[in-house]
This record gives sequence, C-alpha cells and structure tokens, in this order.
Amino acid sequence: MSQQMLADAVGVTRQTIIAIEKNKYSPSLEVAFKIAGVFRCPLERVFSYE
Amino acid sequence: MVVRNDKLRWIGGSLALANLAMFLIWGWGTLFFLGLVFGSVLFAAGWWADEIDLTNELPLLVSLLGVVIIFGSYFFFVFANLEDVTEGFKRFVGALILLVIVEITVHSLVAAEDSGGNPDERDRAIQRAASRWGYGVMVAGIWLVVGQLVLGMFVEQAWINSYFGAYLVANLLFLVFVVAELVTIAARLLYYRRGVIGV
Repeated sequence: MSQQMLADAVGVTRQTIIAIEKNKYSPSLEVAFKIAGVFRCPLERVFSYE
Repeated sequence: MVVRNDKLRWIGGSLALANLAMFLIWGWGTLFFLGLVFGSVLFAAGWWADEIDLTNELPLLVSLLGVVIIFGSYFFFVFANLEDVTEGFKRFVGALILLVIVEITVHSLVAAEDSGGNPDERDRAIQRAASRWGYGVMVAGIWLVVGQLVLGMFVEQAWINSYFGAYLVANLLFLVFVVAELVTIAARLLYYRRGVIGV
C-alpha cells in the first residue's frame, strides 16, 4: 500500500503519513485507530510507546 | 534516489537568471533582488524535491524570505527617513502589494504542482504550536511599545515625546506584528522539519 493510499484512507495528507513513519509526529487516537483499521490489526501492533 | 522536479527547476532557474540579468544591468533594485532570491529558492526546491515538503515548507520558506526582504527594505527606509511620511506610506502600500503578488504566485505554483488538500490535524497542531511563539513575541513587543509611551507621559522629557511621534509608534507596532509573524513562520518551518512531538 502506498503512502498516498493510506493517507486517503485515513483522511490525512501524505506528508503526515511520512512524518508518522519517521517518528516526527504522534497521531491523534482517531487517526491511529483508523490506520490500524486499514491494516485490519490491533492498535498495539501498529503503534508502540517508547 | 534523488527525486527532482523539472518544472520547478525550470521556472526557478529562469526567474533567477532573468532577475540576475536585470539586477546586473540596472543595478540595485528590491524587485530584481527579490526575484533572484525567489528564483533560487524555487530552483533549489526543484533540485532537492525529495528533501523538502513542497506543499508546506516551500510556501513558508518563500513567505519568510518575502517578509524579510520586502518589509526589511521598508523598515530600513522608514527608520532612516522618519520625516518623509508620504514616501513611507507609498512604500508601505508597495510592500503590501508586492508581498501579496509573491504569495499568490507561489501558492498557485504549489497548488498546480501538488494538490495536497486541506490542512490536516498535523498542520493544525503545528500552526497552534508555532502561534504560541509568535504570540509571545507580539505580547513582549507591545509591552515594550506601551512601556516607552508610558515613560514619555511620566518622565516629561521633551526629547522622548518629540522623538516617539505617532508615525514612529505606528511603525514600531507594525514592526512588532511583522516580527511576530516571522517568528511564527520560522517556528512552523522548524516544526515541519524537526517534527511536532510533545509540544
């Protein structure tokens, strides 16, 4: 899945997806759940707190 | 792999070269210098298109340079020629028009290149965090201007009241707004570049 497709699916810009991937932005709970929903897996498998 | 944006490079390069030629032929001129700087910025953005966020960082960078050059030139004239109010007002209107033209041009270019859509939650978070910096600077600046006005009332020194006339105070307040805006833009650029975690 491309960054643009994921961005469109969760309703953010591609730059935000890039920032999340690079650990430069912590998304809101709403966006985090949407991303997990797109990948059909639990939230803790997509995100972890360090 | 280096991703380059040929359209931006072409437009930026042409703009820089055309303004450089006019700058060399006709000498110093804010307009040509401005064109040269913006052309170079666009060219650099096209060259390092994978490094820079064209939708957000490029317009901010151009705004930052535009405000610094256009209003820097304006304030340089105003504070050096405090008695020439008419020319100062003409330059103020000219600076505003020039800045609007630059902003419209760059935003149109970026919109044509990348339809990034509306600002999302990250853009809004960055705007909020950067506005706090700008607000702090604005409050400090306004307190300084108010302070010198009050000083002029209590300390009845003729030179304070004569020096800080309405024209100078108006321009000092305008300078405070411009500096606050510059700080906001710089903070936004920094947050886009370094990330916006825990602010």
